[in-house]
Amino acid sequence: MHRPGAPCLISAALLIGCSLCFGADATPLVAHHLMGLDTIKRNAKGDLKIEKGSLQFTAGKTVATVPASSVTDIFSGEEVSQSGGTVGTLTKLAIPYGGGRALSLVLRNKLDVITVTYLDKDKGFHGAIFSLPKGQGEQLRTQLIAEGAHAHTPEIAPKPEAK
Amino acid sequence: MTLKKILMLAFTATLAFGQGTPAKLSASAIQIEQVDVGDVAIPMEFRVAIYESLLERVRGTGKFQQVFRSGDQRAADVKDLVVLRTKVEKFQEGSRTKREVTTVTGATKVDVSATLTGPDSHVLLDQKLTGKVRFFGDNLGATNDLAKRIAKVLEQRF
Repeated sequence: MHRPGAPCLISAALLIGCSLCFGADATPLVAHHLMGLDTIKRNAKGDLKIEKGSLQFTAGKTVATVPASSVTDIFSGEEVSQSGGTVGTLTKLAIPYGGGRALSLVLRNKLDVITVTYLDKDKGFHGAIFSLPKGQGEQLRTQLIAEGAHAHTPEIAPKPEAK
Repeated sequence: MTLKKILMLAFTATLAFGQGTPAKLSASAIQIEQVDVGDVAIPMEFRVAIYESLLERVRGTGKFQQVFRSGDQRAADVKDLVVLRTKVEKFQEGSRTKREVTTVTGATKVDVSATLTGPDSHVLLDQKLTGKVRFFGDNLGATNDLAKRIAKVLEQRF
């Protein structure tokens, strides 16, 4: 059955969706700070968002801010990691007869790794690395570029073949 | 003094003066340059991770009053500044899952040459080092291992 209003509704929904995705103050993404931000510990879990023209990472009470205008490049890649944390690692060690190895196959998960390079007020070069759930790296990259960040490289950095 | 003691002293003196350990270097500040990858295909996160790990590890040695980042304009005012450059020679990205399942394959390895130059640009130190992760841990762990080794060399020479 033909519904004349349906295309309009779909278009409106898409427009609202786009404005939510690329708006100035996007909803925070849950990310891990792998390294690079001076005030945040390595492997800290926190909220990553773009607010008021800056990339903000909040871990507990500590907030690190990188102005989008100081960003010199953004690289997006992929990584296969092991979920389960310390408990997972200990469990793998504890399972007898090589069962832990099988668990390694089950507990692997794909992540997006985003690397942001930027300059401080003294022109010192910095690089911050974050891991995000799969598929969110590109979204963050697009948002950062929209806020004035520079990005020269191709969207997906080519990975060398693992031997 | 017994003959044994005399021999021991003579042996120690030979070690200290004969072969000679390299003279200790001194500098109040160090600047760490960005990692040069040349033609080696290495993901950007590894390149940045080597650089950031180096900064952290070199600061941790406590041998330098100031550790400057690449491009930091304040470094130009320091007279006895030494500059650390790293060039990637070889990179092999492994797989954490492979490492944990097989224990013999999937290692991640990064070979670099680290060069330290003095204020007059003469080379103070030039050494080839390898960072690797063989068993547990993420691939980026190889960069931390490498930075630890470079920092150790600096600690011994300063």
